[in-house]
Amino acid sequence: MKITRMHRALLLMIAMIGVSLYVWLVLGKDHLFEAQELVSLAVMMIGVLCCVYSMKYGLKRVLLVAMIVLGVYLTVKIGLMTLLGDNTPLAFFLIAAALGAVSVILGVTIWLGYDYNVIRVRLCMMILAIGSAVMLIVDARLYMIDNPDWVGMWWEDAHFLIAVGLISTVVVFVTMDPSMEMPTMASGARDNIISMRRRMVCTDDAYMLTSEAEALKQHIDSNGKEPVEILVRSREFLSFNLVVTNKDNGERLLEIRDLEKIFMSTLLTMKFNQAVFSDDHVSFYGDNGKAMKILVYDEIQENMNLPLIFGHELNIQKKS
Amino acid sequence: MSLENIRLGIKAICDWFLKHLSVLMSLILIAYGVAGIVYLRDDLLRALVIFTMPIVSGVLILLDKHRSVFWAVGLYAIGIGFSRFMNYLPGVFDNSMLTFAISLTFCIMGGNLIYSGSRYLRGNARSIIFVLIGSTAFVILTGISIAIGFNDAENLESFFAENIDDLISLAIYLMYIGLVWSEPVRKSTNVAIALRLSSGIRGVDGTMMRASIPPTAVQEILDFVDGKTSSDNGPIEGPVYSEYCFPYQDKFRTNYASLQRWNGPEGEIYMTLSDHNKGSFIGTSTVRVEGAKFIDNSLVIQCADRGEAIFQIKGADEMDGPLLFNNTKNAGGDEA
Repeated sequence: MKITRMHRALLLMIAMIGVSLYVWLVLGKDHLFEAQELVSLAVMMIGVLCCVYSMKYGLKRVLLVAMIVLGVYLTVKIGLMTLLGDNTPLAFFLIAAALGAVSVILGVTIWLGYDYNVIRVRLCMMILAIGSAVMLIVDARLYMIDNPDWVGMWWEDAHFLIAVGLISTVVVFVTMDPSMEMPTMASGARDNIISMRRRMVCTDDAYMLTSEAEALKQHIDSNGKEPVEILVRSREFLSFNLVVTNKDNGERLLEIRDLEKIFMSTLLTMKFNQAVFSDDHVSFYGDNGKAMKILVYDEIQENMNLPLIFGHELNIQKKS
Repeated sequence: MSLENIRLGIKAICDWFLKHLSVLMSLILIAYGVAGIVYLRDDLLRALVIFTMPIVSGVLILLDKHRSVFWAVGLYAIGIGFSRFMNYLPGVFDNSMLTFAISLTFCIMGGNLIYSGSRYLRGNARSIIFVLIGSTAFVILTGISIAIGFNDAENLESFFAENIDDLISLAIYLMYIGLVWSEPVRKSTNVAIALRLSSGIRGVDGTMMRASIPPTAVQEILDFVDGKTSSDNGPIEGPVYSEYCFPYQDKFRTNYASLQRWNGPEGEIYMTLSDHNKGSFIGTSTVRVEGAKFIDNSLVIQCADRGEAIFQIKGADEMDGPLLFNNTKNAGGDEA
């Protein structure tokens, strides 16, 4: 099942509602209808409505609104607990306020349109999610020592950590969407690497099969009117389609086309006057020093970078 | 025997070692797994849980006929990481806080190693920093454990008997650090691939800051451009009457330039820049050469549409070559 932006946005809003209800009903069960619980719940619900409205502008806008709402919610919630509650320490409020401020700032940076916003959000939320998980384990360990009833005691503390971990995990999931421009440096770099390979100048292992070279030679010699298309393979770089056309005015045109439908699929065009065929290569020569050389092999070459298991090359590399 | 021959000999040995590295890694993994199972045979179930994955990884590496380094390094990391994770998982539930803390750390590091391995399997390495952080932490913690063991041991024999698993683990982690620093793996990170491609494009476009050629190439280029050299065997191929190829240096990178005279001994000369000198050539940048001369320790090739291509002389330029005892001659007609 393909996960769409709609799925991610809905999941985020469901997580926001779910976490706020969970916190209200479980953590705030002793003060269910008091101001300190209702105000923060209202903040979250209004925030979710803002997220619904933001869906008009795209997933990124939903994310930034969610980050701001989460920050405000956390600050308001813990602030009211400290102000109106029984025994919430000030230090807890300061930590929560700091986290809330970070969340709001992250949301604002997305709104301002800086380049690395989403990566920052993703990294912070990953740290938060991992930190929550580690804290859950450490907490359990601390209660476990000489305490047979540790589960109940640990569970009391676990609520907050679970809520934080859950919401931060969902935010990370949202930031992984391809529409987030540069969700990671790695994916951005990978896209650019693919593009640079399409530049062709560094390709030194492009080859066609002997049978294909013969078909091409026949096409050129016979002056066939229909263009002939040959798959040129490359192990280290990109494979591509080579299209040779004999035009009516006697010109011969050579085109290199990308195998995928991209913005400009024709990567290179060259008119050539002469094509030289030999056992191990084919060369095309045009005017003004333009030349192209493609290797010829009898059979498909193995890609030594891919493992060969039971006669099959295993390619589990990510596509562009 | 010259120093250069010794260097080439040692490099050949290292290259052979790298070529057979994957087999070595698989044997180490299998030996590690089998030794671990034998060592812990009294608790067979635990031994199988911990040490089966390294054996499976080793076998999968051996099954690869291509001896792909990424496949081997990836499976090596996964095998070792999984083993570490399963070995230290029970310690997370131990009563001792110290044991818990160390075990949790090893489990997280084991997970990090498994993730690194999965990235290598996909042919796309993580940044070296992430890999080194985890592996170095393993080495340090294992080293501490060995030091404590050495301190507590009665004699050398008891030290080896009680700490053999830590010693083997240390060797395996050190080998892993060496592996991820090896040439083929370092060249597979996103940054390294992008750097290689962009450097190649820079060289081909002729937009690098400076290029330098060996002094011996200068006179040969001048003679070629002046038509003093001829193709004794007739045209080389197609319209190419004669050709002269030479390497040039762009900082640390060696690129190649090809001068071709087309359409007879009086025909036009074209220069093509490329990052490789054999194989296929596609979409290369070619300029028509209008002349060449030697000025101020530089070879200047006049190109139509691109102005002057300036090749500095390697060894004679103040930014290049020896610092003392410079006995390099200035080239370009001064040599006999």
